[in-house]
Amino acid sequence: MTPADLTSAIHGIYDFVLFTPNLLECIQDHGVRFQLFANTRSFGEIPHTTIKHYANILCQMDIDNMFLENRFLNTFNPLVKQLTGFRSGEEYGSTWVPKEWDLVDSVLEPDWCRSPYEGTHPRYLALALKGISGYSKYINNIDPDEFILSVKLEDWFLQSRAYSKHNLIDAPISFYNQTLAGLFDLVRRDHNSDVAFLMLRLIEFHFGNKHIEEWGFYRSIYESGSGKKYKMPSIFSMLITKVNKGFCVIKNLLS
Amino acid sequence: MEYHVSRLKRNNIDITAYYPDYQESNVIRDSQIKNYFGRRLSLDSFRYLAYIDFIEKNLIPTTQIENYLEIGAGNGGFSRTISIVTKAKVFICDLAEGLYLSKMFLEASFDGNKTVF
Repeated sequence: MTPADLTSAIHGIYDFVLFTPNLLECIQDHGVRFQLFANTRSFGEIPHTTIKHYANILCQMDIDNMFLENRFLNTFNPLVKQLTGFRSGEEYGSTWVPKEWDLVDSVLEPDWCRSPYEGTHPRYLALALKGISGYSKYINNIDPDEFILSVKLEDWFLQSRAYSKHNLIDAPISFYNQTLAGLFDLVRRDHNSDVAFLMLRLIEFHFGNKHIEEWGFYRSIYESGSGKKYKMPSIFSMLITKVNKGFCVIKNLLS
Repeated sequence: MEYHVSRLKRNNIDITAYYPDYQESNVIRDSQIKNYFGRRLSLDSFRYLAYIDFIEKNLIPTTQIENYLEIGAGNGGFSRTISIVTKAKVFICDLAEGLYLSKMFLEASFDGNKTVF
């Protein structure tokens, strides 16, 4: 399809107009207003540089509403990735969403993509966003500093390093949905290193030493913003935790 | 699929009145389909309709959608659903291989009543 073909398709009576990505920028020249834009299960699985390119174009287009459903907080095997290159550079999940769009609602693992009859499936994050600024219920209604303070008072944060590693991976992460939504949105909008730190701690708390796709993204935000290296718990502290846990088990057995 | 039927029931949604104009494409194999009150529905049908519910709840009544854009539409299943539910003009942006798949699927799904450029 040429740009001229696209022009005639835009103005013609067609139900479906199919075009290749090189023509995406031409759409805005015709002043087409989209009441809805959707991307499901694909932007989270393509290289970050490619998504960034799409995101830049989309930000300049006349789009009122966006619906997205893409990967978020999924584990991967680093050895397989290293050996096969599988999904290399495609580990940004839903973190690419431009700050120009305002979050209206987010659901991690929505009920439509779960099934009690399936053991494993990717974890998805559904997002509803507005192209009109001033709509976000997380950013506009919550002061980032207050939010950070409130998260630091949550029980998981206070005890995050007291639990042994990866003993919560099978627990539903939906316990922290509200916290995750706030952290996700604040990092997306402000690239706030304090919030990225909390996200790293929450990931570490829930997934232990499992490898999470977005880990590198949040660590780079934290390290570039704070100028510090993110410290994983030392083997010594993990050992102490294990010994403590062992003592508790023995104590319980004896009593 | 029974899980999704129960999910709708739990949300007090009557499946017979749930987007009654929609059913799965004839292109989809029968082994992937279940018949609910004379309508052919697949696992993807339930997911696509749930997307529409989420959009209606949070973003916009589907009747107000005139132009819809999707990047990376796969076989065009959700675009097809949008077209049936909203009557919007659907723009699909994808790599050539993906567009070929969408074009074949959409043309075969609508018995020539819908036009694809």
